[in-house]
Amino acid sequence: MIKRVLLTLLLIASFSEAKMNMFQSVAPSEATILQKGDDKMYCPNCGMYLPKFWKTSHAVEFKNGIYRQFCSMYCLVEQLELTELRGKKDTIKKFLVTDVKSLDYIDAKKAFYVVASNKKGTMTVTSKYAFKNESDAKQFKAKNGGEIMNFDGAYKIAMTDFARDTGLVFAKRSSKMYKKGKMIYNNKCDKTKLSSFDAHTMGSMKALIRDTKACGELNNGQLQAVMLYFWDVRLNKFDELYGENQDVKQHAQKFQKKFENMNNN
Amino acid sequence: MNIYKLINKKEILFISLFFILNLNSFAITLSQKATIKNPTLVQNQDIKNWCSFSGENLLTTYKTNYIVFLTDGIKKQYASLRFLAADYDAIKARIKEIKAIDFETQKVIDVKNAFYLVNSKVKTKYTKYSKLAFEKKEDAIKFQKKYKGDIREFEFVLYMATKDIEQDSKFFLKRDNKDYKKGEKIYSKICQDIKLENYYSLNNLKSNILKKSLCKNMNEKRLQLVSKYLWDKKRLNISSKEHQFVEVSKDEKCPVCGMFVYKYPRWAAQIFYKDENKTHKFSFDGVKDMMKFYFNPSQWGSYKYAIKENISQIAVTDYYAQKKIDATKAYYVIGSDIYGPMGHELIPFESFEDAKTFKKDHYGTKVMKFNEIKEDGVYKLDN
Repeated sequence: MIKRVLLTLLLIASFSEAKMNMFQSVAPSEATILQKGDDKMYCPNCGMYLPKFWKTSHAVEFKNGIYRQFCSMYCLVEQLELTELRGKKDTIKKFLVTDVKSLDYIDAKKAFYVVASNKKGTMTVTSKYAFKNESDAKQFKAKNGGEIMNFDGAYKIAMTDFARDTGLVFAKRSSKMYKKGKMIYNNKCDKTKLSSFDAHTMGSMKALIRDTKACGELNNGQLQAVMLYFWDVRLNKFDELYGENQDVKQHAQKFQKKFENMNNN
Repeated sequence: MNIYKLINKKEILFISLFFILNLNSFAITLSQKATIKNPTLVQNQDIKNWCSFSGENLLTTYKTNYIVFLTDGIKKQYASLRFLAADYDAIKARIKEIKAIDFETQKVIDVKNAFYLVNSKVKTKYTKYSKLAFEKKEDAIKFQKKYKGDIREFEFVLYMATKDIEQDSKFFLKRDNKDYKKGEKIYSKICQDIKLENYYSLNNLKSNILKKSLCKNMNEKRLQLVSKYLWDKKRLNISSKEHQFVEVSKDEKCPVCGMFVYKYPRWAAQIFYKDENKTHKFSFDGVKDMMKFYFNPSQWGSYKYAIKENISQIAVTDYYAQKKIDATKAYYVIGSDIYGPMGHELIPFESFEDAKTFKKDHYGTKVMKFNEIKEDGVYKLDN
C-alpha cells in the first residue's frame, strides 16, 4: 500500500518535473524580451509565456523599429499567412529566431534549422530548432536526429503541417485547458468585467485579466487556461478562424483520441 | 505658352509620388474573363456556363476557374477557389482530380504542380484575397514583381481559401443582401409561382427557369439574381402545415461530412440514440451519409452511446412528398440521375409505387428496402 502511494507520488512528481523542465524553457532572465507594453511576456498570437518556449521563439522586426515575438514558428506562420500580418510583408525588416546554443536571437534567414528531431516542438508535430553555427546544428542532429535545413525549408514544412498542427493545438486546448479555464471562469471571474475588455490579441487579453485581477490571483498556467477558454470558447474566436475547416477538425479528433488513450493507460 | 512649364519640379515629384503610393496601398482589379477561343467547360450542356456551387458565370471568371473530376463520374466547375473551398466537404471523399485555369495562359493545369500568387495587390471578383494559379513559376514571379505577394503551393492555398470563406461572406454580406432584394423584386414582378421542391440544385433551378420560361424577359444577370434569392433564401423558409418535416436546427452539422444540414431540407435524415438519461440526435444531409454513420459510428467521432441497440428512431425525407418517414419502412432508389448535395444518393420513398415511378423517370438502377442496404454498397455510390 505504502509502496503504491510512494510510486504514485513519484509519478506525479516526475510528471510535474517533466513539465517544468521542457526542453524549450529557460529562466525569465535568459529570455530577451524586445516587445513593449503590459503583454510583452506573452506571444501575441496564442498568449503563451515566452520564456517557457524560448528555444522555439521567433520574432519579427518591423521597419518602424517595433518587435513582435512569437512562441513558435507556428504562430509566426499563422500571423504572416492567415491573420494580422497577411499581405504586410512590406512592413517587416527582419525575421529573428532563437539560437538554441546561445539563447540569443539571430537572423532567421541565416540560421541552420534542425527539423523533425526527437525533441518535442512548440505548437507542432514537427519540431524546429535553430542554430547560428552549422556545427552546433550538426551536433544537435547527431544526438537527436532530424534534418538540417534553412529558414525557407522549415517554413515550408510549417505550412504543410499547418492543418495538422492546428488540430493538435485545438486537441490540447479542448482536452485540458478549456476545462480548467471554465472552472476558473465560473468560480473566480468577474464576468461583466471580462466582457468589457477590448483586447486585440490573446497576449493583451491575458495581460488585462492579470492586471485587473478580474479573476483574482492566478498563476501563469491558470491565467493561460482562463484566457483560452474566454477567447476561444466564450468569444468564439477559434471557430471564427477554423470552424469551417473539416481538415483541422479531423486532425483534432485523432489527437483527442490519442490523448484519451494516453490518459487511460 | 508651354503648359509643362507651369508645373515645377516639386509638383512633378509630388504627383509621381502620389501614383507610387496609390499603387502600393490599393488593390488592383484584373479581368478574369476568358479571352481564348474555346474555354473548357466540363459540366452537362444545360448548366455548363454556371459555377457548380454559386451559379455565377464561369466565362466572366474563367481565369480563376477550377475543375474537379469526381470518382462517381460527376464533373464540377467553380468560378473561383472560394466556391471550391465552400463545396469541399461535399466532394472531398470523391475527388479524383482537381484542375485549375492558368491565370496567364488560360490553360487547364494540374493544381499539384502549379504556383499560386497569394496576398498580392490583385483583386478578383469573389474574394478579398486573390489566389492566382500559374503553371510556370516564371509567370508567377512576373506577377509577383508587379503586384507583390507570396508564391505558395496548392495544399496551403486551399487551406487559406477554406479559412477565408467566413471572412469573404462577411466582406460581401452587403452586396449579397442587396442582390437578394433585387432577386425578390424580380421574382414578384416577372415570374410565375415557382415550386422550389421540384428542383434539386441551384443550377437545376436555373436551367428550368429558362427551359420552362418560368420568368419573363430573362437575361443571364436577372436569372442569377432570381435563382440565388429563391435557392438561398426562399427555399429555406418553406413550411407546411399538412405534414411533418425532418426538423433540423441551424447549428446542426452532418457528423460525416461536416456540412450544415438545414441548407438541404429535402435530403435531411436523422438517427436518434437513446441511452439511460438522454436522447442523442444526429442529422445528415442525405441517406448515404446517414448509412455510413449507421454502419460505423466510431469512424466519425467517439460516440459511446451510438450502438444499434440504442437506436430509437431513424427518419428520412420522402423525395416526392418532402415529408418525414420511417427509414426502416422506406424504399430507396439508387443509380438515378438525381444528385444530392453529396452526389449519388439512396433516394427514399414511403411507397413502393412511388419508388418504382421515380426509378423509371430518372433512370434508377434498383429499388431497395432498408435492410437490404449494405455498407460496401453505400461506399460504392461514391465510385
